[in-house]
Amino acid sequence: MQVRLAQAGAIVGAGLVAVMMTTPAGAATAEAGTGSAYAAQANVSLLSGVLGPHTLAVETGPLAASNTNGPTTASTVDATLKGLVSAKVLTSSSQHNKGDGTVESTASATQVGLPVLRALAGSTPMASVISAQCKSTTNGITGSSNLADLDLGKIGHIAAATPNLNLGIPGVLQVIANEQIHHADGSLTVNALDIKLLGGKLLNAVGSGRIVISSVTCAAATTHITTPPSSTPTTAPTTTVPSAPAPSPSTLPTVSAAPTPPQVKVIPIGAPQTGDGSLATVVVR
Amino acid sequence: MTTTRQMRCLRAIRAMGITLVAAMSLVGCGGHSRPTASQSSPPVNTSAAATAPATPTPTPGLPRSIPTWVDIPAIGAHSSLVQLGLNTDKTVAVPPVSQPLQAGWYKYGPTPGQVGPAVILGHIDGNHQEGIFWRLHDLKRGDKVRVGRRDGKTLTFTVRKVAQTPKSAFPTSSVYGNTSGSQLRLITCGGAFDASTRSYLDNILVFATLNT
Repeated sequence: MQVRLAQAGAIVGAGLVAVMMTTPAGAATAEAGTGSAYAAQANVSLLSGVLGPHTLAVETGPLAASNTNGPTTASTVDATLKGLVSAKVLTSSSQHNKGDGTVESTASATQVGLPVLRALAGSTPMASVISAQCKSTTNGITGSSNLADLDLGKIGHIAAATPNLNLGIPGVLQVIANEQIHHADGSLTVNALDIKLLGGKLLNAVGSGRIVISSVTCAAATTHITTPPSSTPTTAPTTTVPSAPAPSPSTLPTVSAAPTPPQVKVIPIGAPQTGDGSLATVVVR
Repeated sequence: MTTTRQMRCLRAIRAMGITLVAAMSLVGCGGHSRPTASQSSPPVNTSAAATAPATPTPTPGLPRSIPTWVDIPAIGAHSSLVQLGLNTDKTVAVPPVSQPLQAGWYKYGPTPGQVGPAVILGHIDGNHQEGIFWRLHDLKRGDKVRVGRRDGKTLTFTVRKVAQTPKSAFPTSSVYGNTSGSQLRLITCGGAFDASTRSYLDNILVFATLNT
């Protein structure tokens, strides 16, 4: 399924200082067994001269957004967020496995360019992949990010394996890589890249607002489906789905063994096409 | 090996000019031949485990370093490596079919030496020339594949399986799925060529593991 970006992006009027209501996928009261994800979202107001002669206000809403309630997968190709961000493929998925109760959300943007940060970085920051994932099991919720090859130029370097790494320029820009947000209800949001433009009062300011690349949220897993106790083998089998509510968020362990991340970050579709048949020995029609 | 004999036979037939191949345009099996621009900056793999004291899965294997060349002495194949991304339809990009001797590495996967399946693709043919993987199907279990990396390391992989599979049943999970150690996949086209779709019907797949 493909979501056309042109329909998702909307200019909401110039000159406004947009404040993104950060409801990273599934925030407020996330029920057990739910999750959500999106590949990119921008809500910013840029000063004139940053990406053209005029001020620019952009509110895209979540792009390539998915949810455990459906659609559980989404993708967009060749996305450009009003010149702020470009990406080849945006994808996300969020699935609840009713069999084992787990929730798994993933979001990915490939061949990402960040023209919005060109002036601050010295050149347009690029990354081959920016992705995030989370997974809930009965043992807890874990998440991780991948920012392969991300080059932020003069803004700074992303150190490997650093959750909630903050970079930026005071009063102008804050960049958080692999942002991990533990919500009060026990759910976890992972934003692979969270870019906050802090205002317009300084010489090198670019504007206000927020851009998030690859955001996933996972609420707690639901309880396992159990089989009847073996001590009553003669009883007619009754599949029992425990009706007990999910454990209260305060008792949920929030840390456990990380799920195994995919080693290939984006798995291509179909079979490779490697040859033009110009020397083919057997030709069919 | 039967396959080899068949291929030799077929090549003999071809040499006699019996086989007629139609429509050798730029499209065809290499229709999606759009190389992806290489990154100008060195890669930094920043996979990060979620929560601080979590239990990161130990990852033996080497750190990420872009592969720069591949050498397969058994079939006389040697090529530099370009980086390959995705086409807009999310199929894997391949080197330009006009440069059939150019191999490429799929950059959204592990680099050779990292834990996981590193994938190298090359053409069987292109522009009326034999491609870099023209003889890939001739590889046998135990043959060596050498890969050079940007960090200066040269790695040797040993072939453990060579397979020919129909494109309609491409074994995605076997090729791109997680592995416990550092592995290598070499991929090209094979089998008969369907002139109507301008596509080979099969893929030749080589599975190799890093020598320890």
